[in-house]
Amino acid sequence: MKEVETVSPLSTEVSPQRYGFDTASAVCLSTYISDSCSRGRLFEQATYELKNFESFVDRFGEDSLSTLPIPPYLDRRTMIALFQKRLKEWLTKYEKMFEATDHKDRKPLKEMALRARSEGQDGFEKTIEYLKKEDHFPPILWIETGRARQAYLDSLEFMIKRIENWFRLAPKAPSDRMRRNRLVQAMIGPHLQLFKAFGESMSQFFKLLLFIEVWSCRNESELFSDRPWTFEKVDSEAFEEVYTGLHESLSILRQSYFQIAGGKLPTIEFTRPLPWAMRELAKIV
Amino acid sequence: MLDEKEFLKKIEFFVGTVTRYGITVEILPKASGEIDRRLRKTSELAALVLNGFRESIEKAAKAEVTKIAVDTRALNLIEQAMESMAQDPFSHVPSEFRSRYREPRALYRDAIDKIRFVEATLLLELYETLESEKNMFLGELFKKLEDEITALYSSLTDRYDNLKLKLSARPLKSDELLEADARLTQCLSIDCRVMDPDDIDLLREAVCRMFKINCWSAVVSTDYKHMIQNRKLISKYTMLDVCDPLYLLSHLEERIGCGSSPADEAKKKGVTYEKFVKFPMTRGVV
Repeated sequence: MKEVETVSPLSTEVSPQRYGFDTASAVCLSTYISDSCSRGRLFEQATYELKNFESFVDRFGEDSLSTLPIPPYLDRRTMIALFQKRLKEWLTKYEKMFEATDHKDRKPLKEMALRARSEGQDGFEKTIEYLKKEDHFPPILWIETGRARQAYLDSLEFMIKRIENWFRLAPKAPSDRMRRNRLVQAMIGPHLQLFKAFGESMSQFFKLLLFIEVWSCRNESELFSDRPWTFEKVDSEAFEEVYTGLHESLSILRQSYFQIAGGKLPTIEFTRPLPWAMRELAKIV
Repeated sequence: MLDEKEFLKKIEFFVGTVTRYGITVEILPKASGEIDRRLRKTSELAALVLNGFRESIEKAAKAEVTKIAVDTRALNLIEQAMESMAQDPFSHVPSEFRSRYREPRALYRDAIDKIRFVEATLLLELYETLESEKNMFLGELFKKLEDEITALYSSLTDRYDNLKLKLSARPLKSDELLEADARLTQCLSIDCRVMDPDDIDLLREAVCRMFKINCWSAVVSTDYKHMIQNRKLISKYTMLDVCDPLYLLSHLEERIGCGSSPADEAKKKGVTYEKFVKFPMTRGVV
């Protein structure tokens, strides 16, 4: 045997909820920025107040939770109330960033968008590793999460470039604010479909994370705590509904990405071992 | 999507025809469901079998794959793992991934074949690593393959999404079709001699969609044996066209050239399509 160093296994110190919420909060932050652009509120100071971001995430979560298939032993209203309670604690990490952000200064605005991207990437990767490591999760869960990560990063890359350009339009005088906001709103027009598809698919991804969390709990006291995720009690029909919602929304996002951002298709070398095996398997499954 | 040379030219031609003449393309629920199912099941199966190899290797080596170096001993461990998995292939290929064979020996062979494709992948990757003289653990090799499964799944779904975009194809929901009567299934299997139940489902949906919108429609297929071979019978009994993509335009021209709708033409030719599909009850004052 060759003498090589031991690879350290994935750290299990942090709970899956932490990975999940890190991903979800970054996804919400990106969606919040894109939503502010499309509403013509990029240069409003109110956009950069934590309480407004909190209420955005609050709505985002409530919308997902109100239609989420849940186990019969959980009460939806209690679940939403608990989610809103935990939300405030989870979002405190953004306090300083929001305090430091000034709508007139484009540097912190750009930092906010970049933070959303790097935290999202990290969160997605950790969530995937967790789902892979626990072999009771169906593989499609980490495979589709991997697809969501790709879609998130590609779309965000394109969106950040646009947002960066729009930040250059930051008003110099307060009287100019309304006009600049409207200008950004108009400039987002040709890309609006992508921004909307991004928001929708990220909301579906958020829903999937909430689904795993909710179905991992035996009672309400375990909701949004640090209990490990499990797939033991999951109703397969309910999972299919949430999975299909995410899968279809990602397809719409990818189509918008190819159409609007001119995204290029990756080449697949079917002479390589895995693509060859997958092609053969596709014929017989 | 899978770069199969026998279809590539036809697909290109089909995309060209559709875009040039502005032909509406719709994806039947059965077709989109089947494509999604295949993409998902292929990736899931590769991941499951790969995990089966990991577990069997760890059992044989009494060590985690993260601690087993990629070398000739690892090669023997994969061989041992394959032998142990072959003793009970069904525990690694769950029922939803098995083919529809009834005979136990064929079912066993099918499960073994599926495992062997992943075994070959693992071995070929291992040989490449050995040749490159990189120091690597089996755990890293497994992670590399898992990442590749995700990347490949994303790329294949991207190809499908991109094709839909090129064709401006819209996947149909089941409520966009008329409800089929059992007599349509009977007609397709007996009168039209379509044998495969999946093909019958697909054609049934196409007939139900055509009479719902009352516009001439064609099912495009490259499957000669099960679909195209029976096209004349399908057209005679259901008014639906089935053709190779290369013939699409001429078939549609001929249909449109007759100057009447599918419902009118059916009446003229004595095809009692009302028996095949259930029209929704219209509200009215009696």
